[in-house]
Amino acid sequence: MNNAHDIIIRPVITERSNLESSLGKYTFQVASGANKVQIRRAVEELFGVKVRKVNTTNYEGKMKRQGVHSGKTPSWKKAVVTIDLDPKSAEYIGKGGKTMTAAKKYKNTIEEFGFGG
Amino acid sequence: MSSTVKIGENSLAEIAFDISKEEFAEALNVAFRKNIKRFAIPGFRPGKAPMNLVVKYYGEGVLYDDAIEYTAEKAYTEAVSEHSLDPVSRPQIDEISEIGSDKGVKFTIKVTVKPEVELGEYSGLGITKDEPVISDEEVDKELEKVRERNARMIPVEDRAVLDGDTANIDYEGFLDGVPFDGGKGSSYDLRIGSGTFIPGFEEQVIGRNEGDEFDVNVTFPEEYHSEELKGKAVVFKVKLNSIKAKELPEIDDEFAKDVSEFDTIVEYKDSLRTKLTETALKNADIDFEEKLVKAVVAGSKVNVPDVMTENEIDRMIDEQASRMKYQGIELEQYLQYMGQDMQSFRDSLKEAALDRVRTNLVMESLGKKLAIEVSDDETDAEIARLSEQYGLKPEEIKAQFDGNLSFIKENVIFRKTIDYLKNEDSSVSDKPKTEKKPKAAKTGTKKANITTKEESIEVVEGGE
Repeated sequence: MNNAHDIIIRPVITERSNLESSLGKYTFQVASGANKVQIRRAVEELFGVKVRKVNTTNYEGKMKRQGVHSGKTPSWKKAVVTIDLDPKSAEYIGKGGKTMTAAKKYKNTIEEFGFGG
Repeated sequence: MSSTVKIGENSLAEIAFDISKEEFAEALNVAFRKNIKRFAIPGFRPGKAPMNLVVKYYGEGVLYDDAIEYTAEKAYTEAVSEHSLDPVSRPQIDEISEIGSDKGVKFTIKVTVKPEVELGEYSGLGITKDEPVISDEEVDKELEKVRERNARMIPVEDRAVLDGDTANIDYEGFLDGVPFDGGKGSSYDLRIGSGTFIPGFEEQVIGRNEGDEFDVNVTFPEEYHSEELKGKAVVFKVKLNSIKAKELPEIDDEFAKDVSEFDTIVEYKDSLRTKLTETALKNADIDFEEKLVKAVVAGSKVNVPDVMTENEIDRMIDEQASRMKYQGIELEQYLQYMGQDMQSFRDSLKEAALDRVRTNLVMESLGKKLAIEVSDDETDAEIARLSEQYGLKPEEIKAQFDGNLSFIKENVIFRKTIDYLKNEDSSVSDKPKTEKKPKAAKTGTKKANITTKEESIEVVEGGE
């Protein structure tokens, strides 16, 4: 389960999540077994953003009945990922103690957030 | 936003619009706002979904219809004032060649505009106003009518029935010796010569005396409405109860006093003459106006688009229908009664409608050419006139026009134009008559604008 696509299952699009996306908080349904570190890496890899914080919560599936048969909708995990809206370029200390700036740039939005994104 | 106008055949204008993408984005936004409650996206209450998600979810196409309507309406209004067009039909979006939030829109609208009028001669047409002369015979005829109206019925006892008398009779009809339905009546006032009864009946009453009982032999006409009776010979047993004769009042001062405020018959005759002259003058005036208008219209060239004729026909039918409603007849019933359908009725109105449209167009352009202006005072005067005519308060009249007084102004212009024509030509008519006269006479056969009253009378007759 190290593939980013296996961890991030789909975006959760609701009035609330849509509102929060403008604050840099993007909500996803993620694999139930994934931890915050894995989610952070997956989001950074998929969307090219800098993740500042990951909050997760587990949702227990709901009991559903159809006559005498009872069942359960699947349990799932939700992750609210806060991204850095003003990301600095990645820096590292190069040879001779000089500070180098990596060529890589972070985006400050996840444009794909939405249907079919 | 830019638009180009091309006026083609039959006054059909084609307006091509090029809407920039910014303007179209605004239109899309408006369209979205309008339909926001309709977009149901899971996770959002109705009316709460943001536009970008709606576009992603449904596609931009859902907004196009309303967006185009919005831009087209706006662009069209602007184009009409920019190119000073005078549309007479509903504009129709003809072709959308390009659309998209990234490209903007290109489309064309087709609309019929008022046709150009090529004015002909409008002054010195050589049309003269008839000077009505009321002859003594006409006054006498009028007097005779009044006399007739004031006639009295005098019972007659000492003579037999004459033509023109009213006989009070009891009667019963027998067919082959058997009474038939509807063949009986008593104390019926039958005026001899009125033709109320079947032919032959009234003649046979002539010469009878009061109290006579006699048989009348008549044959029902072939086209009689009852199947049993038509063409049959029947006998009516008739009893003559009484005879009344019409007595006309003597034409003397007494009569004048009775029917008028004048004391002598001479005065009364004079007043009749003035009244007749007035009516004749008014008629001559109307006639003169009509002739002038017809002559100007006939001399002008205008290509009336079909839409205008159709619109005019619609208006005429509306007028007709509302007039009929007033009399308690539905237009459909009337048409059925007349054995016409809507289409043939429309066709029958076509000529008149074309004529009306042509007259209006020519007069309007003439008004424009003469630069006739209407002051507020004149508009007010017209409103006052209308309020008098319809028995409404001036405010009510204004309210009916919804504060849009252009209709009234047009009316005033129309009249002032006619006044101008009258002025122009009455100055000419003092001169000896020119050879132009026959032209006016030739065009005088058609009916133009001022025929509404006559039409309504026709309807009454036809509907009964």
